[in-house]
Amino acid sequence: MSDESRKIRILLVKHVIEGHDRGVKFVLGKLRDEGFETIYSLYRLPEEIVTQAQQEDVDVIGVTTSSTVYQVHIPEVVRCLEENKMKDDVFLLVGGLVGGEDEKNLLGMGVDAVYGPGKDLGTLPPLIHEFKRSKSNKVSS
Amino acid sequence: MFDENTLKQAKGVKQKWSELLGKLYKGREFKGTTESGIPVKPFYTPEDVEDIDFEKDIGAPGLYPYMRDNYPIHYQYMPWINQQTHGFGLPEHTRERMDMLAREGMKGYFGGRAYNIVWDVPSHFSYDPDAPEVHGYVGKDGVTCVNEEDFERLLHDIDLTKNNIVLIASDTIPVFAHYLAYAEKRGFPWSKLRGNTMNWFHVGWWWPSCYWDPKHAFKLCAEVAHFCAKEMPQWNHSNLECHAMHGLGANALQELAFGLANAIAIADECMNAKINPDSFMPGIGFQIANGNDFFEYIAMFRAWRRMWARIAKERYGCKKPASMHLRVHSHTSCIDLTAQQPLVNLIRTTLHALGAMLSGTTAMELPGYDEPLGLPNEETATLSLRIQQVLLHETNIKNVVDPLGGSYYMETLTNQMEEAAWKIINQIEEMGGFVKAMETGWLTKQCRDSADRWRSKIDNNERVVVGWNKYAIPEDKELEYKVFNVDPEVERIAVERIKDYRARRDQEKTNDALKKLNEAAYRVLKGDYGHLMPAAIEAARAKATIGEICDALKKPFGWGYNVMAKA
Repeated sequence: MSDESRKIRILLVKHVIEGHDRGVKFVLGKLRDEGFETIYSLYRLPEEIVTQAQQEDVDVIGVTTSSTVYQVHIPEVVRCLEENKMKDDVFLLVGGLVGGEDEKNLLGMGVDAVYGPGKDLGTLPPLIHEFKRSKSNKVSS
Repeated sequence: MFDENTLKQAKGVKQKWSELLGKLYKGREFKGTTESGIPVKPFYTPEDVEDIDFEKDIGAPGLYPYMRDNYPIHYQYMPWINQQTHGFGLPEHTRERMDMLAREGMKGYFGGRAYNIVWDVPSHFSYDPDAPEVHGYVGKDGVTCVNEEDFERLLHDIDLTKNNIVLIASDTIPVFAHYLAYAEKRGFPWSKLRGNTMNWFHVGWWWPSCYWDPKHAFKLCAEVAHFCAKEMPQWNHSNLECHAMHGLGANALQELAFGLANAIAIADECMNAKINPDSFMPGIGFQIANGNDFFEYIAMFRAWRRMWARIAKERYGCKKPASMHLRVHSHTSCIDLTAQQPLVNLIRTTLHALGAMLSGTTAMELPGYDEPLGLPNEETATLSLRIQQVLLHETNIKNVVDPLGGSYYMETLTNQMEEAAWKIINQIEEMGGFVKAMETGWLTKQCRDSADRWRSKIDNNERVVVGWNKYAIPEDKELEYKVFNVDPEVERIAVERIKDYRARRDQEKTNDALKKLNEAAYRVLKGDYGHLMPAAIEAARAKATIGEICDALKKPFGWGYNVMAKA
């Protein structure tokens, strides 16, 4: 099913009551400029993120939050991805106000990359491409 | 402003300076621009301000147009209010922080304090703590305080007539109704309550989160103003959230113009609601950011005071000085702070606060140096207070009102800001007013474009941010900071409490009150103000939850998730 010519598809989501979107809108523009296909959406419950990812058949999910709510939502996203056997095929990105030891905790629970405030976005596209390459190699071998 | 002789001298001096410049720097040009793009010269003389009419445009503190200050004497008589924000977890947790700040010397006017209490995001948008979609958010970024029982946990023993209680909740009516029911129960007459509501019904549109239809949002604002004008003369009903525009990307000029255009939209709706302008104007306050461009923000502030006074007098025909005074709580910049080397933020915030003090602000709210990492802990919250205390007690700046007034540069820049801001305000009026500017997405786009320019300049190293794109510490040496965490038990307890609260009420009475509230909402749409707020308070007395009170308003006024958030 993997079509080499298909653009990598990225879903970026923000919770409906989350007021801050300056960062995620910037990331959205950057990823679009890099040639990725981007979808921006809102969610109410963490499991809706995974449903949207399935419907949109995306390669990357990015969740943004300006509070420590990721401590609650991200484990639920990871659980839903695992239940739907999608965890290994989807690159999970977390952005927003993620600071201190929480970055390590998120990476430890299966998040692929954390982009907190001020992080150099130039490093993100290569990470995503590398992830995609390793997946397609796995499929072909 | 100067006699002929002085201007002649100024010309001569300027000539000598130019010659020296040419000789020393071999024709190199020196120029700068402010953050908002206003060109500035490297040196100013009386020539630059020769057209200024001293009495009309500059004048004295306490005299119209109040550019120099609202009051003839300011900080020597009445220091600014320490308006540090606090709010997290259960009401009991927030109360601990309030008491800690009080112990550390947080002060308001004349022996009172301003408790600047921020609600959690679910309460901002009137979700009950047990609404499934707010799981994870309860008590996270603010306090979960949703009925009179919670208010008692938060405010017991605090005199609500001597202290300012600031209710930072976006959809003002549900939380406010419960507060008023609580105050009444404690025996405090509403007419003597002091404090502030936000009246941010229009903000969710461009913030962007849950929104009220821009066409109707200002009617909700006017209903709150209508109630306060009648029942609560000491209460400030509206807070113009200009700091959020700054956070979204607005530069100082945009913040000034958009903030005033926003206030005009509220005031126009208050006029439609037939409230006396001298009753509603003193209740309007502004939450303004002081950011990095030091002098530009001070000029912005001074222009703001003068423009607001002129708007109050000329557009609304106000007579009372209190209607023309600009009430400002300086919420210094958060967006200019960095997660990298966070201690450096103490220096930035000190400069922002110094700017606010030199501007003659009436209240200060400073973020903790850990703002880009999370909520402030006890130490960082105390340090923000200490910045204010050092400025007040150790610098002697307080001795003189508007100390930069009369500076050739400051007066020129203030005039340039005012002139440019009027242009933007007129542009907004031409496109159909602030509501149109919101609805079409123009306002948000203006802010976002500024944000993109800001970030691109940083990424291209055209702008230096110390510790981020210059003087950065390699990642492996970066210090680990502990992020402030709210007790994970908070949500479970808040959910239990609200379920128990609902179980104990007379359901029939609640339903009846909510039905009446819904009817009062439709009356507002017909221009019949003054019934909705009393009906909301009656619903709070009948133990309707904030979610239910909000639900009764959603259909009449139009409510939803921001579609523009998807753009």
